[in-house]
Amino acid sequence: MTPRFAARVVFVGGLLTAPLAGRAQSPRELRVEAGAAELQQLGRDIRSAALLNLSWQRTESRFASLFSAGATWARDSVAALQSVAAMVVRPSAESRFSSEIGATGAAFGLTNIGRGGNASAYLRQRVRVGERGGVWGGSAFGSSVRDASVSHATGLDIGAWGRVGALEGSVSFARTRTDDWPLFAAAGIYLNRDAASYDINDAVIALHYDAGDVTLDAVQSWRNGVRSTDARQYALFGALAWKLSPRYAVTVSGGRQLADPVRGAPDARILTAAVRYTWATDREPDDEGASAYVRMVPAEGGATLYIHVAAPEGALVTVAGSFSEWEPVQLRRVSDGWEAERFLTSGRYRVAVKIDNGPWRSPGNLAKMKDEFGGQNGLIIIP
Amino acid sequence: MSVFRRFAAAAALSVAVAHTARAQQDARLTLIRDDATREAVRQQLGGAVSRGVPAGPLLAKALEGVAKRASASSIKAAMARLEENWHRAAKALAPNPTDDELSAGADALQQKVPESALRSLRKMAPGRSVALEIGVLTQLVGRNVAPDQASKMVLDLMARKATGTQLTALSSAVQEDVEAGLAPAMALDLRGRGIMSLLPPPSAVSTLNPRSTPRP
Repeated sequence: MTPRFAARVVFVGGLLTAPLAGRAQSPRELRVEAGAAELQQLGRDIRSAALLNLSWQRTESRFASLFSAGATWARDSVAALQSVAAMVVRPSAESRFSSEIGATGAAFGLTNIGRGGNASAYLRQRVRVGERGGVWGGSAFGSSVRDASVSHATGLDIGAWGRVGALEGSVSFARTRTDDWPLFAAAGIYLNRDAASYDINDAVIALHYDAGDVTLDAVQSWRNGVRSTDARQYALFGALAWKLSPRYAVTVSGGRQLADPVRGAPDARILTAAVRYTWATDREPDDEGASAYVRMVPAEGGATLYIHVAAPEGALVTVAGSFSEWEPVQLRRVSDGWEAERFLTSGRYRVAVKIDNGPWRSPGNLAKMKDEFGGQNGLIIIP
Repeated sequence: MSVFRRFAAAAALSVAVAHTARAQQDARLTLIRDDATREAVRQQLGGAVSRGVPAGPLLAKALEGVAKRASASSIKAAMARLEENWHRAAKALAPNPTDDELSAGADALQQKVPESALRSLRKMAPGRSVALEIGVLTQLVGRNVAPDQASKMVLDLMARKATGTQLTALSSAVQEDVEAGLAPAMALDLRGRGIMSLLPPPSAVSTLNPRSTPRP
């Protein structure tokens, strides 16, 4: 297997892994995705491959964790394996700050494991600004080995995200330095003079639209070489997921993704089709409402109550409280769950959350009271 | 306007208000779609109201049970317990508790807050509503603080004239500390001391504010 093809194959695993890493967490959720892809690298033939990706994620009021592993097999038996592990921690459920730390690992070719691979790590600090957006800053480091040749990459990125109704978007800017010449040579990026490393600037706009049973994603990237690097590239990539039932969905994606020196993923044009199966596990008895939390923002004459419930798209989520005469509150879908907001005047209120056929629970960060019906309520006091 | 006309107008207004309240109650009862459950709730409600318990909290409890798909017998039992706690709270918060205090008191008793704690709160502030303080005490117990420790802290803060915002902030802060791994008792002690450090000692309060805040 040539290094170029090895890198190309591993990319497909990354393709399926990346959206999961940045997307939504349910209380506990396992996803299996299987399908096929066609890949084409610059100046090379189109190749076909089979895909299999597994991801597991868990979300609590202050912690979220994700593990994902993907494998790809091409027709000539070469294969690649890639994994991602990430964790998000926030000081408290209501905090506007959260820290994300993650690591990725990849093997280029299971038939020849040890011949090539990549390991990377990143750290990102997010700050929520307002109710529907925020900013982040982060750094990443990656190291790749190809035919005993070792290369490194470091990157810094800043960005902002926001949400308007069912549409979410982010804008980011990244500066990366690397000496991974095989990866960049395969992508058509060259040095214009003697230099020890490549320097590139990337700008990315990403959009996510959730229309219930259908979700759409689009990512537009621009790349410019700086200092001694010649590069002027852009790429558009899109993905569609159509939910056939609460557990089954069909996904189709296609476009171009630029070479990622931190994770060792090559520049390639890709078309994929896959079936996704989602299995959300039942919550454990001691996990009392940890997947839901409330935030209260003081306002004139009371406070605005924000309720967030981490649950998969197919889950039946019900929120009710004394403030609504125990009628279900209207919820809206957000990237990582369900949300509702309600203005409350000064006083005492009880609220409870139910997911699927589970018991009625208090949101995780509220004082809990037994409700005399076998469940719980959370107690809210607004001074 | 003659005395008779004034009396007649007042009587008519009272009848209209009672009629409106009854109509609102009936409207809420229609939210219970199951005929048998609605009738059971109506009977339970009628008896409780005749014994001096307002319909609002009882109906709210019934609607909660309906929303949670509880059986008619469970709903009746829950309403009966609420009525019992209401009467216990009325004794503990005597002599003139408001409905808001009694509602908070009934919640507190359900949460295993002792009646003696309610009596102490009333004694600390005989001339104003202590509904918020009872609510904070209930929250702290709901966050696994021992009732005795929670009531002592609330009383200490009341003695120093802590505001409602400070009291609710204490409860939220305790929750954050507990989530971070601190024991509830230690979290309350630390956070309570933090708020107390911002407040004058009780003796200074009594000198600066010789009169208690009037009941709203």
